[in-house]
Amino acid sequence: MSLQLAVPSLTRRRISLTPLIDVVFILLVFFMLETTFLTEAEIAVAAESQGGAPGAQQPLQVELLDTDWVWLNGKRIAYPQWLAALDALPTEPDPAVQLRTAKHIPVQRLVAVIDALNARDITRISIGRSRGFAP
Amino acid sequence: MIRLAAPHRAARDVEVAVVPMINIVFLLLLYFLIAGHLTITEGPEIELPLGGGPGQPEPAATAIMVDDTGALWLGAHEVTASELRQRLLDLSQGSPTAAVLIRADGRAQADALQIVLEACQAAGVGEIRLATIESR
Repeated sequence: MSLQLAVPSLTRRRISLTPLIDVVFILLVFFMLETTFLTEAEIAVAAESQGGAPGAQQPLQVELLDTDWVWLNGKRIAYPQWLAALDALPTEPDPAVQLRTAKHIPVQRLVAVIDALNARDITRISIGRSRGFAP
Repeated sequence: MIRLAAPHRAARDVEVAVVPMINIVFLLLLYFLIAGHLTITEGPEIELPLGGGPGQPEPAATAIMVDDTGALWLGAHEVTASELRQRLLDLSQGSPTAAVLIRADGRAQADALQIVLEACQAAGVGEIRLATIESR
């Protein structure tokens, strides 16, 4: 009695491409929908401390009480002009900044202001709530 | 006499065109795999504010999300301000150098952000960062 091994068939079966295409299309759609090309960045922030900073100098006050205006050391300046006003202020290098916002200011505005300050090498920024509406 | 193309001929032409299509689909797939990166799908949909300079985002920190309505989220769960404070307290007691990343929607009101900042400060979180989309 001889052992019979399965003889490999000579006729080669064609692999069906359709399931492969299906899977590849599903993968493509998944990656197209779930992929983002935006790069994220991060800004370091600090919350305003309750006792107040022990720094010698009075910090620069930037208040956002309204989207059209910026209060710089209590002085009301139209938003488009506030950076020019900030540059005109006589300040020491890297001053501490107290950034205070009203409740309804959008986060985007807050980030834009922090960004503008960071671009001027002002990094010591503490964020807090505004104490009432300044005149 | 007009002769129309035989149908079996057309069927064979379509079959031939499949291979270049697969090539292109594979290339597109590779492009999305390599050039992009996956979005975070957990939690609410957030449109981060534009801003922030170039620089590598630092390694993972506890992410607190603030959606456009001002609701606070930790992971996939919505939390109240007091729950958030408790969770942050647990976090900062576990590791004193704990870092927190705030993913706040650009359209959210600053009030919600202040609530998170106050919770971070009450819990003594050392490092707070705000996530943005880098503007070009």
